[in-house]
Amino acid sequence: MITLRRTTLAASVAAIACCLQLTSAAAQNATTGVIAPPAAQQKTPGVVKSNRKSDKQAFDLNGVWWVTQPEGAAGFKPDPPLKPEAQAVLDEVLRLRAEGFNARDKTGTCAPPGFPLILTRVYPIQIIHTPKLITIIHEYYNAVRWIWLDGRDHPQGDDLIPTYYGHSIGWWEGNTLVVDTVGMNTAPDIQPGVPHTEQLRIVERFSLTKDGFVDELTMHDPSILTKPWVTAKQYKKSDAELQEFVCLQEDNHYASDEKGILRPIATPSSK
Amino acid sequence: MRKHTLAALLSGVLLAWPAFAHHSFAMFDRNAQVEIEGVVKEFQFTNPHSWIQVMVTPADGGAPKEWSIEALSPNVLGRAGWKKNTLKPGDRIKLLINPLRDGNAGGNLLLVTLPDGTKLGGGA
Repeated sequence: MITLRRTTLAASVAAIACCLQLTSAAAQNATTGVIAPPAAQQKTPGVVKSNRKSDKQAFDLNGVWWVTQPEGAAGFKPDPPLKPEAQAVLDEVLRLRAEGFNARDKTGTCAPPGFPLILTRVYPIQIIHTPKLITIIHEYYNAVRWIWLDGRDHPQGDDLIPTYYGHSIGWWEGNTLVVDTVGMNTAPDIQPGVPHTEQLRIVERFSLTKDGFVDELTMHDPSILTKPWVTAKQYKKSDAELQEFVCLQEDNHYASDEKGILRPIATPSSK
Repeated sequence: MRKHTLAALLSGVLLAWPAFAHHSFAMFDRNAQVEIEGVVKEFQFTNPHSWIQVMVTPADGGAPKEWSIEALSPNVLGRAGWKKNTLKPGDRIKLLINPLRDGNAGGNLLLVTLPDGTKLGGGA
């Protein structure tokens, strides 16, 4: 009986302590924002207004599109204007590939391709274009880019969280949609063998062509490039419907070795 | 008509080859094409790439050897007419491949000939 009472007392004390803790957590929440508020009240951190002026919307890019790759290669053309150290990295990758080694192919192990490397792959994209937000869904890895047209700027300073696809804002200059993207993390290369730093900034200029649109990219990263790297991808309207794309390394036949070379995993059969 | 469709499919697919892929094809000898014949052990319809495990009996009549043949993603293959059961264990098939450059038993699929004679591009 006494034992039971003690247990009850202990439970009551624990319950009270728990309530106190909740109360203090709520207070902390209100004053410092340390603990996340309920989702409905959550605001995206780092949203700040830009002073940039925008012309009127000149077109919309709604629909499914497929890159046409007239340059016929899985990278960006022309080749990047690289500083000597960056060129040495690329030369080594090209040398290994010429010898038959699959060097620096991170998507071969299901790593997210990131922006802009994802533009070098031939899969359809779906664009949902509203006045204040463009959403680009890539079938490849089912990756999504959000391009804000609502007059916001990029998150400033430490509010900018490095991500695989960066933070994009857009505005109109006459008949051109300009999109500015920063905040790409350094895990993916721009294209295999061309790593970048967190300074990477990419300005895209979208304009209509007679049967689609062109995305002209100017890449800025002074620590690897001798000058801005100007390149482009062209798109045509497609009847394709996007499909799921999930990549699991456990289904894969390759793993990356310590030098970043894809090597076959010993057992070819999975079952 | 069917041949034309196949040729069109193949040419489109071959032109687009490097860009569809998730990794480079440096390990394959893209200048060489070899046809192998064997019995399907397993078909893995998976990302980033699909795989055909096939048992091939050597020309000298030795014990069958397992080959790993790489094909593109289910989305790319699906648009080229493949289904999850296009290849079933036990099917005797022919495979036109770019062989591995290191001489191991593997390759990159160009064209498969199914037991009923249907030919499908490998998406690569």
